[in-house]
Parts: sequence; C-alpha cells; structure tokens
Amino acid sequence: MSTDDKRDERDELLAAEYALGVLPHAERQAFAARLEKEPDLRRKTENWDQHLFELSDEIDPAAPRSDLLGTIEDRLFTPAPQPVSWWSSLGVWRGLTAASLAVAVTLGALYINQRPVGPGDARTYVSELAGENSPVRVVALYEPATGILKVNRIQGASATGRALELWLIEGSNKPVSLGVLPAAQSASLSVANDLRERFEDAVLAISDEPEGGSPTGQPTGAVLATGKMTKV
Amino acid sequence: MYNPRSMKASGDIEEFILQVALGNRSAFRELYVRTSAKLFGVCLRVLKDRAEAEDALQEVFIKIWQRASSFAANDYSPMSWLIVIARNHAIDRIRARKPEAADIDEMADLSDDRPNPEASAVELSERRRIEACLEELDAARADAVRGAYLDGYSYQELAVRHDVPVNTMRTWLRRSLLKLKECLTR
Repeated sequence: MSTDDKRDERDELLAAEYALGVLPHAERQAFAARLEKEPDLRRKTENWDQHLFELSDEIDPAAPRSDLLGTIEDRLFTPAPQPVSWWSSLGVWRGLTAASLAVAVTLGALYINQRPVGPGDARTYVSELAGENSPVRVVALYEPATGILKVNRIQGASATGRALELWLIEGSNKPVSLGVLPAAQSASLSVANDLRERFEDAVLAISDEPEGGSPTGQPTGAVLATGKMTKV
Repeated sequence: MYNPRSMKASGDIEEFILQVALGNRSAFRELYVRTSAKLFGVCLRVLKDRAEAEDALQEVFIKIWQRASSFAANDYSPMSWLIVIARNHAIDRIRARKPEAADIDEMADLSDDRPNPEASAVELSERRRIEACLEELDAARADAVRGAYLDGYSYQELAVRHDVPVNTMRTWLRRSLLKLKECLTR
C-alpha cells in the first residue's frame, strides 16, 4: 500500500470510529477539529453516519419532561436579562432539590461536630449554593452567636479577572452584599452587625462580578449559584 | 447507489429544518414536537440518566437552531442529520464526564485481515444494508459495533464487556469496520 493509501485508510477508520462514537475524549476533540477544515474527512464521516443511522431504528423514543421546549425557546429567543431584572431570576433557588438540601445538612452536621460545645446561642444555618448551568458549588454555614459565616467552595471558581460575590436575600428585599469570596477554597467572613439576625429563611446567592465586587452595590453579572439557609 | 434521502418519507421534517434555517420559530416548535421523542431516546440510551439526557436535549435543539442553515449543504437525510447531532452531543458529554486513558494503540497491522475480494456477493436490498453487513461479521464483533452505536460504549467499556485488552478491542473493531466498509460499498 502506498503512503497515501495508508493515510486514506487511517482516515477512513478514524471517520468510522468517530461516527460510531468509540474514540476517547481527546481523540474525538482532535478529530472534530480536523472535520472543520477537511472536506474529504467530512465526506467519509457523513458516509458512515448515513450507514450507521439505519441502526437507530432500534432506539425507542421516550418523552422528555413537558416544559423542556419552553426552556429551550426561552434560552434561544428571550433576550439576556437586564441587571434590574436579575432579582426576579432568583426564583431558581426554588428548584433546589431535596437531595442537595440533604447534602447541605450533612455537611453542616460535619461542621457542627467539629465545633466545641458551649453554652449560649447554638443556632446554626447551613446552605448549599448551586446553579443549574454553573459549576460553582459552595457550602455555607452561619452561626449568629459569632457572626461568622464560613464558606467552603467545593467546586468552581471565578473567571479570570472576575470575582464571585456573595449576597444575602431576605424575602422580596433587594440583595445585600456579604462580600467577595476570597481566592482560598474556604474562608470565614465576618457578617456586619446589622445583618446578623437576618439569616432566618434567607437565600444566599453568588454572582459573577468585576474584580473587587459589584460597582453598584447590587448584582450586575450572572447568578451562578443560590441556596436557601436552613436551620439545623 | 445508496441514497437515504430518497428512501425516507421525511419530506415534512426536511421542510421544517429548511424553515428553521430561515429563523422560523413555529417551524422550530413543530420540528421539536415531531422529533424530540426520538432524539431524547437517543440521548437517554447513551447517557442513561433522564436529567442529564434532558440537559443534553436542550443543547441538541439549540445546535439544531444554530446549524439548520448548514443542513442543505450536506447529503444527510433529515432524520439522520438530527440523530447525528444528538448522538455526537450525547457521546461528547459522556466522554468528557468519564475521561479515560487517551492513548490506545491504533497502529496495529490490519493488512492480514483485508476484505477478501472473492467474498461471495450478497444481494442486499438498499434498506437494512448495515444489518445485512453486520451479519457477515462474527456475532461478538457485530455486537461490539451495535453496543458502540446504540449505547455509546467507548473502547474502554467494550474491552471490559468483551474481556479483552483495550488495544485488542481497537484492532478487532477496526478490522470489523474495514469489513463493513467493504460490504457496504459492494
């Protein structure tokens, strides 16, 4: 076989493997990048796609949840929300599952067990902050007795040149800043005196902000994660 | 010659895709109503988790909206174009989720197992050609091809299922693909 024939056979096989889907992630990415630039490779892949397509008769249809089309249409056709309407999007926290709440409670219990037992105010609030389309996950634990809010970033980070800002939201009030999350994975933030008794049933939220935090005192960027404070 | 576009009674779907390419939102909605169950089935079969398959389906329909204008420029039949978008997205997701050793040897010599030119020609109807060609393979190898296509198994997973080293699996499957190709173009 000539070198050209060998290369052609190699491409033919890669096209088949890509169409079939068996390649490891890195090889798939590399092949997909080649597809953009190489019409011959595209033709080979399309050919395999067409042949293999006949096998898809064996795949049973299934009904996705009924509101999915609405979600897709919103994503495609609803203009990006203005900063003023940011607040209304906080309804997403209501979608927090019981499972993630259970995680927060468990993690909270772990914290509590590490704490020296003493007299006085033993109230503790925990929350797991997460978002549907964001990798950011943070567990927060707050004790009114000390006014210390411990945050543990278990996943995700701010984008380069951006900051993650933490907000406290009570009922339908405007968000109040609790400060910018430090780069460290876990941190203890001191809550201002006038906010210390305002965590009951409150929601915490994290938004994407310019370095140093929101210039306006209100969230300006996307909401990355939210979670309800739960007393444990 | 093999031409799936003429084989499929999918003129409507094609018309909807062409309308979507023009930015027609009601055509997009209609396309979703007619094809989402099949495309969800494709995602679900590969991802094996409803919530993740629903996330995937969202991305698939966003891609369909964004790429509809490229549909007319290729030779895909309408349903195969849609299913390729869904399968590729679902497989990209699952491969990214479960990264595995990337370097599988692909240089094994396949030449001793070239298709035999004297293989008896088989009369194949245009339809189900792939099925007939798979029947010419060893049952285990045809199974591997099917598992990869339908369930999105990676080389790693196929190797475990068939109890062979991953490099052996790749050589096996590549030989099978060469035989398939020979049969499909016979």
